[in-house]
Amino acid sequence: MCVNDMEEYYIIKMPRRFDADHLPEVLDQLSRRPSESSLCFDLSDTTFATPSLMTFVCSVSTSLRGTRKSIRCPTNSDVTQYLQRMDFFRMGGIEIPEEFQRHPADGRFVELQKVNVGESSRQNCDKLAQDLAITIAGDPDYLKTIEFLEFCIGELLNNVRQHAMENGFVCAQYYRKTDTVGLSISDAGIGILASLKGNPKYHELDSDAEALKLSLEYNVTGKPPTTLPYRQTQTQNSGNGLFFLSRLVAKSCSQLALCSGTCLLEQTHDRPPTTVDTSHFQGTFVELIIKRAKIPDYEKAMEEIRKERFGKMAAQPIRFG
Amino acid sequence: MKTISIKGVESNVLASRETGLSFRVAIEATLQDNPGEDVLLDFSAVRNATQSCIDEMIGVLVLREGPGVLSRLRFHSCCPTVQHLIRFVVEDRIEFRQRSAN
Repeated sequence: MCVNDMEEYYIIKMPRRFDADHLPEVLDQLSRRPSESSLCFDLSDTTFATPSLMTFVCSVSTSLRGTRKSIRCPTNSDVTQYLQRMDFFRMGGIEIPEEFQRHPADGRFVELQKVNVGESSRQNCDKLAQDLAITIAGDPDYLKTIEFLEFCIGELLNNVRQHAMENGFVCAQYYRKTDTVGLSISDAGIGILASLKGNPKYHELDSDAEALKLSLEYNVTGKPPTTLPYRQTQTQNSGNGLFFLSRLVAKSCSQLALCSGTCLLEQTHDRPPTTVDTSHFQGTFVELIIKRAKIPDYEKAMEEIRKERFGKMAAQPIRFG
Repeated sequence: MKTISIKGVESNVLASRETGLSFRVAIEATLQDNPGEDVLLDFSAVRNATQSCIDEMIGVLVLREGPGVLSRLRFHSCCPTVQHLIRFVVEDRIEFRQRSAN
């Protein structure tokens, strides 16, 4: 990838502040790119760089392997410096001399990072989920926020590693002024519809919107569970990770956006998931906006989710103590 | 009683399915190598977990062996959140086995 070279490139004009709501418009621009043409992400109008902007650009760039790509830097030098500090350019292989001093993240942000996938990857999500949560919690002593974030991030990382087949990207920022955490994870993998089709139960599924809605429901997985013998070293998948995430979003003042294939799904605490058709996005994009002060009691929320699902089931004899 | 210390990789969070898988393999081997003996799973080094990890560790064990396997397991020093997750994955996998049997 190169920088500020716009000649002979098909230009994707990025908005002043890119978030999930802009996906339909940006993906529409991307869909009109003549095949074989080089691609330039024009950030010149960007005045507020979000985690979503960074993960989106990186995952699109990953999906267009073999295509020449360029970035036009924001005209606002503060935004360019922020993108440098977040390792956005470095992730794209662009080295720009830094004319500022790097300060520690200090509970405010997590630089753009790769989420490695594939059997050869030895990256473990335990430390990554914990580190990310602590880094963006805003206050290291605020355990409720940290635990809530650890769970959400952990499930999203598992999701990428189970289904992406391609490296993903994660980035997060805590905004002190609004007491909000913005988190985005995006990959250029096979997407949710193709992943669900791995399960014979969903072979007939042919709509991205239907696949996205289903993925938030209970026990929906591309890996059919089996009681038959299987490779002991192979992970299973109950299909409840995104179900839990969706229920936690509903119980907090959070917003979840999920884009895969030709659909964008958005869910807020007070509104069930709605979908919008988009042009094609290769992979899965997730944006999570969490209002820290509205995070519910984590333990109580977990108990409620279990009771909502299995309230009438006889308690199993499990020995705790 | 055999003891297995459960802990995350460089972390007190059990987040990844791979971590769950590695402990399930250890639990299965300990149960098999020590017939008639119970296994204590020591969660004292665990502060938080994901549903996916707990499912991979305990849920898949119940899926394979049936709920009877629970009579040989003791969950020690589990924080309340992890207890809720263990209950959830056990109920989930028992329900799946029942659905599969019908």
